[in-house]
Amino acid sequence: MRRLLAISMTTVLLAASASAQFGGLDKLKQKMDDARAKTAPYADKAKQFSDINKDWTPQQEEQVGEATAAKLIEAFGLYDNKPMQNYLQLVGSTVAAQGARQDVTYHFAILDTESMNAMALPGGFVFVTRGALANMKSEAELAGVLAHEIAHIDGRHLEHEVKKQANTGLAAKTFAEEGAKHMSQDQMTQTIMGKFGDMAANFLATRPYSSGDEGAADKKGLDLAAKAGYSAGGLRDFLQTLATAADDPKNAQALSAWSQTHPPYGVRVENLTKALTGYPAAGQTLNDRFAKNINEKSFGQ
Amino acid sequence: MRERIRTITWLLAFIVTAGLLTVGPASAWSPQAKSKAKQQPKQGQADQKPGDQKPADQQQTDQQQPPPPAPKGVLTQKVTLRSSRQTKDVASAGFNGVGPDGKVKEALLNANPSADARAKAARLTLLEADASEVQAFAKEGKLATPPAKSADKKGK
Repeated sequence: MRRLLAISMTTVLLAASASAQFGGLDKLKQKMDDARAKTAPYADKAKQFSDINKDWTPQQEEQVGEATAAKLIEAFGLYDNKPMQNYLQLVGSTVAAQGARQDVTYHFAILDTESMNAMALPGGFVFVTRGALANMKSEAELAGVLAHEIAHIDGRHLEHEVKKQANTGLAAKTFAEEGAKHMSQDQMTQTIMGKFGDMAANFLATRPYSSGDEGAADKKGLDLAAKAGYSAGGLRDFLQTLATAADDPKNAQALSAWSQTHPPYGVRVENLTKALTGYPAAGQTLNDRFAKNINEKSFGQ
Repeated sequence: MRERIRTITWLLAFIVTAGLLTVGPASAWSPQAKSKAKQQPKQGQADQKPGDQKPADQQQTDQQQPPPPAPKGVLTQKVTLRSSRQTKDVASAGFNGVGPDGKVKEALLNANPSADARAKAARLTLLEADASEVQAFAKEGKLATPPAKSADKKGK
């Protein structure tokens, strides 16, 4: 009798235990379903932005560009000098008017670092560093550098690089996780833009474009600068300056970011020199105007 | 008497075992979930802190650090000379954003931009050269006069 009682009690207790466990599993499944339902619209939106077969609209480009610009400004600082800023905008706009995309408004600005670099962002943002500007000798060199960056925007090179990254599972998972936290449409879009901005800024500052994209940007940049009436050799001449400077190890800190994100100087100088034979030798260099607007005004000499 | 004690001991053993089976698995993931829930906001705070505090820290560092010594290299010599002569403009003299090896500080890129950086980026979207100004600029430099803006170009 007692044995029977003991067996009955054990059975009841084990049944209760099993029921509790299955109940826990149900709750867990429910939680997972809820999370999936919450992140689905976010993942869909991220997928839409990552679609390699569909170009970003000018509005989307500008949103990603602005998010990327904020990251770069945070990292390097913005050189806030109105006269120099205006001059840069005028040179860039003169070049951009010669056949660059007309659905993009170009915004040219200076990053406050002596590290050499120039970067193009979606949405028409073009940055040149203070260090790069300080080592140019003419307006033609500046026009050549800006024309090259404009060509990157025209070719949507950064957009393609970002989409390559966004298509990997890791990025999609990150988007989905973030999406679970922000559910309003505005917050969702902002977060996605921020994520693309992160990817774009990291790519621009640390990795090079493919040699194909760089070659295409060099060629198109040469076209734009020459059509604008500048000496087509501007970019080549600036790269030659950097190539010469690179021989001195003391310039490593200034040049490291450039060499990390661009093909070797020598190769580009050689290719550009070859390509220059197809362009008229005449063209404006405007050394004096450059000196007046950059060296004298902006560097307090 | 002995038999009764044995029976009670058996019963107690069953109750304890069954209780462990019931409570054990459930409590095994509950505290984890709780601690995760507690940890997540902390992690978020940890992620945000560097981003939010950096501008102040960076400014402090920039103000505290003396200008870099004048190197003798062709390129850096030129840059340093020009930077050191700045009088009117607010600009730091150094290699903002890069380390001594010249490589970009990835921690800066991974941090959330400050409100100030976001505001500056937003202001950049308003930058656009006036078409007539660009034409005058091109004319002055004997450059090709830019064609008039097409109607579908996005205006600001």
